[in-house]
Amino acid sequence: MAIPVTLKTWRSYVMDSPAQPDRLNAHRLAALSESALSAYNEDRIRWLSSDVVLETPDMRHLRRLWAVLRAEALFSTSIAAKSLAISGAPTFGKTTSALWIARDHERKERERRPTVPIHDYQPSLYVVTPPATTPKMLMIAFCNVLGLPYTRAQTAQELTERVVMVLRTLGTSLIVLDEIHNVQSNRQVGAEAASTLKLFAERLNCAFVVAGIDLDRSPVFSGPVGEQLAWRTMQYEMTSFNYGSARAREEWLLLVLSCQELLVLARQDESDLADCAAWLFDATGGSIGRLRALLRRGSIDAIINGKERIDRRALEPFVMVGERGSKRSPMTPVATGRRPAETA
Amino acid sequence: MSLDDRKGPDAAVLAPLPVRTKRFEHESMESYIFRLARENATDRRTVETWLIETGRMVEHAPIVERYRIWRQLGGLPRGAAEAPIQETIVARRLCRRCSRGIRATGQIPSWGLVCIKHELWIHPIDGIGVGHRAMAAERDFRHHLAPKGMHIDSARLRFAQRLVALAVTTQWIHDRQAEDDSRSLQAALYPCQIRIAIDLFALDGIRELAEESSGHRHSAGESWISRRIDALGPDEEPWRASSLLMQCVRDLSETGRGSEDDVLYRQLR
Repeated sequence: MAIPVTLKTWRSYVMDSPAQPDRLNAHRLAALSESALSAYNEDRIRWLSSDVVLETPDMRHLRRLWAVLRAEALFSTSIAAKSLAISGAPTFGKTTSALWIARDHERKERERRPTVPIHDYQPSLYVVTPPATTPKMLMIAFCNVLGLPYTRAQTAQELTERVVMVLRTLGTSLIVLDEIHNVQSNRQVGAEAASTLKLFAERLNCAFVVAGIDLDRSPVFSGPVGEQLAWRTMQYEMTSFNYGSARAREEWLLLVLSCQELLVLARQDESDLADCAAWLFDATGGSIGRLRALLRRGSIDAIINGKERIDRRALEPFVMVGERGSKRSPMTPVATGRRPAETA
Repeated sequence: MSLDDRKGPDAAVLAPLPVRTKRFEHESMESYIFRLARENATDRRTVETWLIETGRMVEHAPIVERYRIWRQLGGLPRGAAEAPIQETIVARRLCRRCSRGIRATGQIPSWGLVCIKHELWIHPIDGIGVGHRAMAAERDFRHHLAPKGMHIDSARLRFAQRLVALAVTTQWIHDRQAEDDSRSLQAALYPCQIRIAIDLFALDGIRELAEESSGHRHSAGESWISRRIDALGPDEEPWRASSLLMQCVRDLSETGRGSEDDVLYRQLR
């Protein structure tokens, strides 16, 4: 799924509720005509590629933090920033969580105000920070998402004023800023970016959710202004799953089984992935993002080749190289095509 | 701003600006563009500079092309507010109630000076309630004159207004203004202006006057005008108006004097 980068694609993303296709057994699958099978396979692949949010320990925590933040944002009269920072390494689900929060807020707000025309109201705004961002580039990113024209000659301050005015008109009450680690690490630039966010917070009655890598070391939260922001921000660190304790192993297994539920493969058995949970952990480094990508690719392959089932052997060709924590070099192949029992 | 992400022949259609702005009925594109840009915290010049910088519009693009692009930016249908109707029709502020208090302008050839729906003057004094005579005049204008292409800024209507202005005295004007509770000269003249315009140009009054006036020009003109201006008292001297009227009748009756509008514009100078 492409990240929605315009208001139009964002609104489509919010309204879209992909439905899980029915899981047909092998017999019913074989009875489908060629065109029906093709259509069914397309539906399943589309479903596999959609961004379904799973209930994980991280998501449970974030739901709780978000519920509090949302209530604060809706009913508080304080001008202090109401913000949440989601930090974590790549593929730990920060973007998925941030998108979920933004979408959840927009859906609830539109339900609260059903008579307001869709184009006259924009409760959430999701913006991705471009690489090596300066404050002006950050504002340009906002303009691009909103569809606001700007000229080369306009300054960051002018753009900020315009964005603030338009967001006020649109009634925006949540801004989600992803990949915020892309703000340049230069101290001056970081301070200016923090000032911009503080200005937003003071001029707009809205909550902020920022997501990025290693936010505790981000220049946005350093310096006098950044520290002010940091003090008013709830911080949450997303971590990988681990396998070190019985409870951790149970959580990982639950995650694997949850992912398996989404696969819609005709011949998939409940025990198929449960049997290789440990291997899946090793292959993905405990990252939910890598796990879902691995299972998605393996499932698509199983649909295309008609096998309708995935297990360790079917997944091995799709294990990504260079996974976190691995002592192998990025170029060392992970899979050899042999079964584990044959490698001696 | 990113382009609309549809594919196919309309792939280059611009996405509308984020703050949607409704175009009022009869509102001109110039007025709408100003409001659309303002609602989006910008101005026309910035937007057009952006369009040029990003290659979406050429510099010195013709007005038709500019309007086409602005319609897309406003999310308007293609045919909305085509290019100006006629240059001689003045773009005026729309009725305050029709535009919900928002300042918007437009050309409305089928309207006179009054919004019938809200019973308000739209020009020259907008937002003030009208009396029954002005309302009747407006209905007459829309029924008799507008369908024949005679708009309020046309030479014929201006000529009719000049005739009334020449025929009446200051006291007469004050009396009309007191009745309608307005201070506008144009508003005071309006009902008689419309009556004269209808009789002169819609009901072939020019030909009738030309026939009546042979040998008795001034008296024919004076009596004609007197019958059409309310409460014309003994102090009123319509001879100036009559002189202008009969000069016009003579010019229009003669051949080779150009179009009717040209003749009238010459009289108005």
